[in-house]
Amino acid sequence: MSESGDIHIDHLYKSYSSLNMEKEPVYVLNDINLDIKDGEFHVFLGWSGCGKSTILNIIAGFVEKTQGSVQIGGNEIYKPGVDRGVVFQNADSAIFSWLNVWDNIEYGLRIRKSPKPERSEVVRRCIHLVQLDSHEKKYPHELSGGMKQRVQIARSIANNSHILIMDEPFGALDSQTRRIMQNELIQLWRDTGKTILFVTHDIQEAVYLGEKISVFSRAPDAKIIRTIDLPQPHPRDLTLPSFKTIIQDIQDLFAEEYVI
Amino acid sequence: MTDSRRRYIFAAHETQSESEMNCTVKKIKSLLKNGWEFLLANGFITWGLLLLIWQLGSLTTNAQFLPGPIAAIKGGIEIVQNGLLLDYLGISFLRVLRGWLLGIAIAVPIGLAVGQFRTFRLIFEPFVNFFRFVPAIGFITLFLMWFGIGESSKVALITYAAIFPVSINTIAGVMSISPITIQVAQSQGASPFQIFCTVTIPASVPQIFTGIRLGLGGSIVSIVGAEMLAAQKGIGYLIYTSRLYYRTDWIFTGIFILGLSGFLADRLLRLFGRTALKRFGVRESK
Ligand SMILES: Nc1ncnc2c1ncn2[C@@H]1O[C@H](COP(=O)(O)OP(=O)(O)O)[C@@H](O)[C@H]1O
Ligand SMILES: [Mg+2]
Repeated sequence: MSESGDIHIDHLYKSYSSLNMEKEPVYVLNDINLDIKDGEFHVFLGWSGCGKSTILNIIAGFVEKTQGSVQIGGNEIYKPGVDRGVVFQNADSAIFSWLNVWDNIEYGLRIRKSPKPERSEVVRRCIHLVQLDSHEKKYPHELSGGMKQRVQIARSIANNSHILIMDEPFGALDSQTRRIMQNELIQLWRDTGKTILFVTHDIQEAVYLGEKISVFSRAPDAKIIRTIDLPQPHPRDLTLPSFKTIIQDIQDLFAEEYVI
Repeated sequence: MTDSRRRYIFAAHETQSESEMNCTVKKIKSLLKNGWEFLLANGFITWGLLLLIWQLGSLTTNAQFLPGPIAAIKGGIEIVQNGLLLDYLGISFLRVLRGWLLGIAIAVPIGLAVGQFRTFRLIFEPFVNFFRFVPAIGFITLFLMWFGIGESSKVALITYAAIFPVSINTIAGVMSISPITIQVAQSQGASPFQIFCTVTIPASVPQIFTGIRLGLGGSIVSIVGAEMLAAQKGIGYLIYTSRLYYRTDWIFTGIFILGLSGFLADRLLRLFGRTALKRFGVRESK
């Protein structure tokens, strides 16, 4: 129903025009079909260059699709919208360096002219949610990598985006910070019921987080070769045999890919 | 005290004072080294050498041809005392300031538009890349013809000189903004106009500021050209006409004042950048 926030991807193709100069178009995404339920934690897993960012950028409305359909709640996506918050790996470009933490998080509300007292209340709550209370006056260059990603997450929450689009958000963090951020993200997902689209090339991270994992084949002509269901509750202990089996399966899948 | 004992004490004293001396020598050496480093790093050696060579050079010829630093300083004091220098400096300062500010006012909007819109870029870029190789001096007679012999022609020349560094750096600033930065604003509901005002402009501030600094340099350099023709006063005028009055020493005063003003103005501007524009990412740079 159009009321719900289900994402429906149907026969999606993408070729970048620069790749398209020859007679034969080279498809970065080749016939992607995918349904993502409202409130799902969906992970896109694949080697770098396989088109994970491309599919996220299409869903975010930044990149035009070549063919096919991408719908959210029954509405075709063709441009960015506040319903979809983005969290990029490269926080240095994704946070405005001339605004402090507070102003970065407030930006969208201010742009959309939300009334001041209400706005401040929302920003305060979001800053608290990501535990940046004592850092709200700091500028991005004064923040650690983990704190910058928290700013990006808080910004999406402040905008009340229902879908969080995260492109390797923890890829640049050290392993300790990454684990903390993963746990916080899961907490946030459970508390808010948001849909999360999460890109990673790290199998462990995918299995630790995802409710569903779409595994991509190698580029070009990337397809989703398998979508894995992971109904197991969080927090997950990846040393358990059941998870080890899943991780091994995915590794085998990639290994097969490589031979072909 | 026996002889041997005395000798012993003497020897001990000697070795002690020897090691003490070694220590002092080391200290002096390190002091000298630090001092040398200090002088070198702060340009004192450069200036000392220059003054020395200049003075020596001046001794081989007459004061009309090459007055030495001492003669130049004397000449400088003369025009400081009779108020001429301050008067000229004020006039040149105003011309540079007006031309430079006008240049900024023209170049920043053009640079923003050219950086932002492909069409503008395709139209303007060949134009910019042609005229940036034509120095302000090339336009002197034209500007005199077009703007008259008053202040306008001089200000116009300085404006011309300032426009290129400011616009070229502004264009580069806008074009170097990461698409991700724009996307972040788009996904929060910002309209293209809002993005232009709240992202494009603040994100290009550091490069615009670099352009403004280079523009100030260009403005100061072109003051000599601007005051070459149809000027009655100014530092450029002083440099250009002193020879006619057989006051070669004043040329050196003018050159010195020009260099010093540029140096100080840039220092001041950098201080402004470091403090007032700090949050835009303007940091200490050469
Ligand atoms: N703007 C673009 N123009 C041309 N080719 C692109 C562009 N963006 C990505 N590609 C190409 O598309 C493929 C997939 O890229 P991307 O979606 O970024 O992969 P991933 O995020 O999985 O690493 C790569 O081969 C990349 O070179
Ligand atoms: Mg990517």
